[in-house]
Formats: sequence, C-alpha cells, structure tokens
Amino acid sequence: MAHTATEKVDANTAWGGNAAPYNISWGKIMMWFFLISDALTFTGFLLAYGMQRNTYAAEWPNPDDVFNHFPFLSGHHPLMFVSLMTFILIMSSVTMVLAVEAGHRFDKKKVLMWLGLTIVGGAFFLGSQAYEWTQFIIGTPEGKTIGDTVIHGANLTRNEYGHQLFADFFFFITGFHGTHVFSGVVLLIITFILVANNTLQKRGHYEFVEKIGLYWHFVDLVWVFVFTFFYLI
Amino acid sequence: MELLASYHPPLYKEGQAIEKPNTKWIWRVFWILLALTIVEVGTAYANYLYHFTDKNNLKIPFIILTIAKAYFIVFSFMHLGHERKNFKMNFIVVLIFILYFILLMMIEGYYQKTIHVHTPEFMHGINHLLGGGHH
Repeated sequence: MAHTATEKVDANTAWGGNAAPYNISWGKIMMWFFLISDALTFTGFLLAYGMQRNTYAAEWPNPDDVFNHFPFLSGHHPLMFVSLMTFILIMSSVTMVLAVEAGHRFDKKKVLMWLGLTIVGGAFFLGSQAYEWTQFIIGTPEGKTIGDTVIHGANLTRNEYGHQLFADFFFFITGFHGTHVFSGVVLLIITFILVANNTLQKRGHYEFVEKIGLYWHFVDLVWVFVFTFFYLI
Repeated sequence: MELLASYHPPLYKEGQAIEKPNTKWIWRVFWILLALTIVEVGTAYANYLYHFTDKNNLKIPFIILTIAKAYFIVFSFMHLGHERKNFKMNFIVVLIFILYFILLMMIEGYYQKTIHVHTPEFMHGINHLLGGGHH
C-alpha cells in the first residue's frame, strides 16, 4: 500500500495550483467533510445530554439498574449486553478495514467476504439495539407506583426508572445512531452488489469500498462515545 | 482552460497479480481496541459489584479511554494518520473545540443543578417532565 500522501511537499507545490493539495480524491474528501459535520451533530446531542444529566443528577437513573438484561438469561447482568454490542460493532469495523485492504490489492473475492461479514455484524447490532429498546420499554415487573397507578418501563411520556429526559435522550440519541447504522448497512449492501457485479473491477479501483468504510468507521466511533456517555458516565 | 490536476487512486492493470495480504497491523489495532474496551467495561462492572470507588472518580478515566479508542479508530482504521498534516488538522482543531464545548456544557449543567433547579417555583413548573407525581 503506497502512501503518496506522506511525501513532503512545500506549500507552493501543494497550493500553487494544478495539483491536488491533500493528494486524495474529491469523493473521499467530501466523505470526510460530511463525517465532520455529522460528528458535530452528534456532539450537539451529546452536549445536551451531558448538560441535562448534570442538571437533574438527583433524579437521573443509574444505567446499571436500567440496562441489565441479557437474552435467554434471567437475573440482572448490567453492562454485559451492551459490551457485546460494542464488541460486535468493533469487529465489524475490523472486517471493514480488511475489506478496504483487500480492495487496495484488487482481491475481489476477499472484498466480498469481508464486506459480507461487516453486513452481518451491522445487522446483528441493529437487532441487539432493538432488543435493548424493547427491554427498556417493557420495564420491570414491579414498576413504579404513582398515585394509584403502576407504570412499567419507559417511553416518551413516562419513565419508571427516573427522570423523563433520560428516556427522551436515550431513544433520540441511540435512535439517531441506529438510523446511521441502518443506512450504513444499506450502503454496504449496495457496495456488495457493486463489487459482485464487477462494476468496481471494471472501474479499475475499489475506492468506493474505502469511502463506505470511512462512513462505517464513523458509525463505530459515534457508538464508542454514546456507549461511554449513556452507560458508563 | 486547463483543468486542475486531481488525484486518482492507483488503477488495476490487466493481468496484474494479486499481492499477499498486509493485515498484521489491523489485528494489532483490534487487540488494542479490545483491551481498552475490556478495561473500561471491566472497571465499570467491578465497581458495580464491589463498589471500590465512587462513580464520579471513574468518569475522567473512562473519557480518556474512550478518546484513546477514538484515536485508534480514526488514525489507524480510517487511515487519517497517513494523510497530509494539513488535512489531519481539519479534524484535530474541530475535536479540540468539541471537547471544550462538552466540558463547558457539563459545567453549565452542574451550575443549573446547584443554583437554579431545586427552588420550589421551578420544581412546580417542570413537574410534568419528571414522569408525573414525582414531588
């Protein structure tokens, strides 16, 4: 893998005209710029979460008491399922890098294999997130007694576990992230079809895989922050 | 008018042999990310079971570990480490602003809690947000 971008050039050569200053293709730069803007969007949401979480710290539920379900296991297992989700997403990031690396070597079979595994990982993550949401909405059997009614679980109008904003932020931010994962999986499937149809082979390079790879790594990166802020802090 | 030269990725030449994979560094970064995640989750879980420290003391180490993971994902997996310095600066400067903003908003939230929030008038006004019948 030659990295011509690391050659040292003086400012005039890079910016004097008739050259690509960053030595990257236009499509890749635009994907990076989109990712910066998306990162700022998520930052805005996490900022709002951070501020409200500190404002209402007294009524804020402890995530260990809320997110402690694990499929097919009874009892309380805080952090276990979300760690599995994090591991799956990191694994899918690894398979994505391997797909990009295979694309650099024009190894079509390997690209297909690693892309397929990335899609499976993404789909697995979406299903896991759906499970997490379901458990959150169903709530505990005991529920919370308010006046003469007992409420179970959390949705956008009531929250058994504590402050309403906790539920609002959880659904909104993880939902926004989940939408990104879903659109990422759709894009990966499109990429898979393009590779399988030899479209990229005829084009002569697999940079399409690299750009989608950037998007997928961004999705993983956001999850790392969302996971830390919602479950650990 | 002459078009500006643009960058093109290296093209496939007909009959070109497929090189052997160069993946050692990928798996190395994977193990690093896995180790960081295990340390994070392990500490949180151990603290949940044994309560060896107050949760607030763990917040800053968690954030540092998360930023370390972010560094590896962006600089290694997304190849940003191999790009030109000027390009990297796009992100590093933005990141500094983001982190500073996060810090400011957390301080703001803490201020809101101690100064303003729990006065009776304010509590009455936002009662509907508390999931009903809270106070």
